[in-house]
Amino acid sequence: MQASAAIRARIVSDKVAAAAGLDVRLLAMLLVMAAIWVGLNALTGGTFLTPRNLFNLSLQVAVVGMMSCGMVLVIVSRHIDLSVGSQIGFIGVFGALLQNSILPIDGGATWWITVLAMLGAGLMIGFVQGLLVAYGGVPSFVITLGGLLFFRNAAFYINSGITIAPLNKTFQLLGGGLDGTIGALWSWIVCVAAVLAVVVFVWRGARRRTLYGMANRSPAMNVLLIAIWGLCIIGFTAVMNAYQQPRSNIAMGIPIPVLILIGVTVAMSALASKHRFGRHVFAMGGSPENAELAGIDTRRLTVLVFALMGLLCGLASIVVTARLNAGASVTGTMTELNVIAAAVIGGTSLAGGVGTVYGAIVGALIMQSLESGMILMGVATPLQRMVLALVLIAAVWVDMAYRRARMT
Amino acid sequence: MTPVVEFRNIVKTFGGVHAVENVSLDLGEGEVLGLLGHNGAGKSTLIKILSGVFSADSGEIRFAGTPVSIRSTRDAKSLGIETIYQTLALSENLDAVANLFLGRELTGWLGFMNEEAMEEQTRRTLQRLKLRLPQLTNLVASFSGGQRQAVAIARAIHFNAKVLIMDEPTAALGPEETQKVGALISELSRQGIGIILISHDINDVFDLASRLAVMKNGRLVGVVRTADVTKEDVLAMIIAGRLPQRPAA
Amino acid sequence: MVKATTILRRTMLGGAILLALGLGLQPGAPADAANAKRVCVSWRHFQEERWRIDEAGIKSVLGPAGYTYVSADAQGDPQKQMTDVDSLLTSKCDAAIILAQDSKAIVPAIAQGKAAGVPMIAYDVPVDSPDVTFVSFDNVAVGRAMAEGMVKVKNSGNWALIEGDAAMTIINLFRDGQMEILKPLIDKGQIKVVATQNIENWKPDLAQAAMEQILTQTDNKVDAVLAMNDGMATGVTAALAAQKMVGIPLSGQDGDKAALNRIAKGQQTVSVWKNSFLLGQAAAKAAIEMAEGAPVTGTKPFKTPSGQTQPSILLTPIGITRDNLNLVVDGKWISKAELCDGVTENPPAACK
Repeated sequence: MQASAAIRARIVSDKVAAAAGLDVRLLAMLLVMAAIWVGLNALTGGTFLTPRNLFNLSLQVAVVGMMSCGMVLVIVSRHIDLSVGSQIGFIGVFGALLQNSILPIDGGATWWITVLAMLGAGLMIGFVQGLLVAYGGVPSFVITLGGLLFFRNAAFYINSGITIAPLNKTFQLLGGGLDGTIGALWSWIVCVAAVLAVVVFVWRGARRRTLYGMANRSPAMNVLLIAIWGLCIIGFTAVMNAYQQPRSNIAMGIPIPVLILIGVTVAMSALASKHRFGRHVFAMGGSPENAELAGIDTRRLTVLVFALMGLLCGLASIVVTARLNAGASVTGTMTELNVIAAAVIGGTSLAGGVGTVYGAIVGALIMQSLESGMILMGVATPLQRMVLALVLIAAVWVDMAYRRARMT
Repeated sequence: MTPVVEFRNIVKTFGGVHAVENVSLDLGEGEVLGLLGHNGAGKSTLIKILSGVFSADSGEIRFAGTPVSIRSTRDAKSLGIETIYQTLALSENLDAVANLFLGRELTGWLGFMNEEAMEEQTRRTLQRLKLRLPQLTNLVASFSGGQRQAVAIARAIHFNAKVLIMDEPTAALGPEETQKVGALISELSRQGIGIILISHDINDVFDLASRLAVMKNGRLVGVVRTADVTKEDVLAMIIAGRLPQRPAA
Repeated sequence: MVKATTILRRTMLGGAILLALGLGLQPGAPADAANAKRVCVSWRHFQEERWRIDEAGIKSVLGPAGYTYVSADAQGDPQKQMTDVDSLLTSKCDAAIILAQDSKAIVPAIAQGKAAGVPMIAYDVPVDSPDVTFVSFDNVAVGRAMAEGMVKVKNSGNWALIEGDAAMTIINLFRDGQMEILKPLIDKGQIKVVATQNIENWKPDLAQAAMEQILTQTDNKVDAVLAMNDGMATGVTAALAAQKMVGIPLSGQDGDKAALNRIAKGQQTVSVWKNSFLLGQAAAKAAIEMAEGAPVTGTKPFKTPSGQTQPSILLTPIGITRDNLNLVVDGKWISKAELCDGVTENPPAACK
């Protein structure tokens, strides 16, 4: 029986994707994002695609982006972490209190002691929650719901709800701002290094496959892949450098939080797809029983997944607090929903076992682009929220339809 | 000749229920031993003790004559004891290569996996077993029953198994695939791998196994040589726990 | 024998339940003063920055009068507040002070109080019912003071309005007061409102992002920002800093320490200060009069949105600017050290 035209088309597109080594779904998401950008640009009279707005967008997406990298692994492992918003609120106030009241506000070591303390706090919180989930047998929904309530209240309790501002000058750099970028020269250096890394990575991959006698992408495909990545990296750097400091000609360059976001994304993606740890997390999410039979200690793995999420919350809270230049108790309220939405839009299935880090970043970008774009358009806030809710539902709907179609 | 595996007086109780009661059994090198009995007879529990899922409450297991302590699935695998579970225990969301190497990934620097090496080895093992699979990078979720069997078998064989436990290997297969599995079992036993075969289907077991062990209510009813008994005899052992009149092995 | 993990699980669940109960109800004075009259207070979210000051004010009047203070914290949940009021009324109150989380959802609780014969005060947050005495700061006056403080410094140009959470009806009162001052100037064309955004949960980091977008859209052509509270003003300041625009007129509310410090540094123009200690005292005084069965002194009729009338005691808020910072220091709201921390150039009078 002749396969239908749709199925044949999908087989071809899958072949192309496999040959190029690309993820079809991710490509589709990027196309959607590009379409949204073009649409928003038209609706805002050309303001959306300016260097300034894209620069701000990259800063605005950093916090949720970082956290969504960790949330992907949490959801893949068939768990959920509802406490992440409260964590960044609490850790933010804690860090602000530390540098403002306990350490000398102008001390030279203040900033990195605070950073280590905030990362440590996040790691600790995640570790404890992980222990309770893994060894206590209580569902992660319940444990992290407790965490949400506990840390939201703790955020108010430790400083009686008083906002702490301003913060240490060096610490502030970690949140961006006028001085929180690496400047034009360093941005280009980072850009060149990144493109070289892509070239090396692709070349080595091709060489290894030849070494093991496996089918390889055609050289033309490899060049195309490098070209696409290279163009994105160079384009991104050019945009960051095109944005100049207000009332001057000095290029801003890549903001520090965005560098942190990129670093986290690359590291977490490598961890998820190329490291034994990630492989085991996916196996555990697909079937915890099979993972145990394969000799994987699923309980220890669960603790690590939550600890990693906590560490990323610590990092995110550093960025949001430094960017705001204040420790505010209410920060992070409801943010867990944005983080989960980003992961889900990016293709992470709430049933576990499936998801990608790059997808979550694109998901976060799509949500933030819509939100920021709508403010440019002057859309009323409740309406913005309604639009975002519909986008979330639509994205998951399409994703499920795509998965069902692939299975047949 | 020393048996490759010996169960000596194995006892396993689950909260008052004697799942395995004082079972002693051995498996020779290159032998195919059929393990028969009703549901709840204790067959699965016994082999799970060998494969490291459970620990026996008392009794001893010897491997190639030496007493061993098998406390995890890792211990069993490092001895060369591999299992193909009834459900195949494959992860649907991973591909064939990932499933084959699950828990035993080849890693390089800092724990990052050497995916090319794993893929190449998987390919070689499949070829060795004359098994065919579609695109190796497809998720197992899209495989047919026979293809999944192929992955499970390849996984069990790849790591130089000396003992292979197969729990209902032909239950979900059609006649043609059942024949293929049968041929594979014969070939593997020819290579010197000891095989414990659990099955409900007396016909399959009669064709493949040289000896048959029957369990009922946790106890070992008896062990007979396939050549010496009829299927009715064996049925009587399974159902009534009655030994055949003729001398057993 | 029970497994260790089962024991652990049960202990944790039990502990979690106890913790949840403990975090919710905060009983006040022990019940040994059995014959003393009781004033019950239902807080909506006690952990927010200011309420402990209100509480101190309430206690400062109830204590010497020999009244017992009992309270419950709804932790931001309107449903929980209904349960809290239930429990408080059951425990016998001679008067009740209710700081509503949701003005509409609280109405059944008010009806319950009326049925139980307990006189009630709606504290700070308006409730549309003739059966309560409304004790608050004049929220319209809050908006007015905000706008007045701004207009004294700049009465023209492009203005951005950063408003609070759209779901809270109190922002309408703030806006009414603001517009009393601003609308004539807007109509004359002197002031142009270039952007209005409501900030969910009044979150400072959301205010920052919104302000960034507004500055992008207007190409920095914003001359003043009317922010409805100090938390959001913090976010606005961060956004302005990235554009080297700190120092343009900026408003706020609540007298947050960070905001007052900004005023001392010239980074914020006005913060509407409500001495909530005084408000607590006023409410306690009214509650005592109600509990004694005496008429409440000093009330004025207040017209609710639905046209009903309720007695009200409305205190006047003060707009704190550079010139009257001494009021917050003298009122022991903030120490001079905290106020003047980091003030190097052009110190205000209160920092000299």
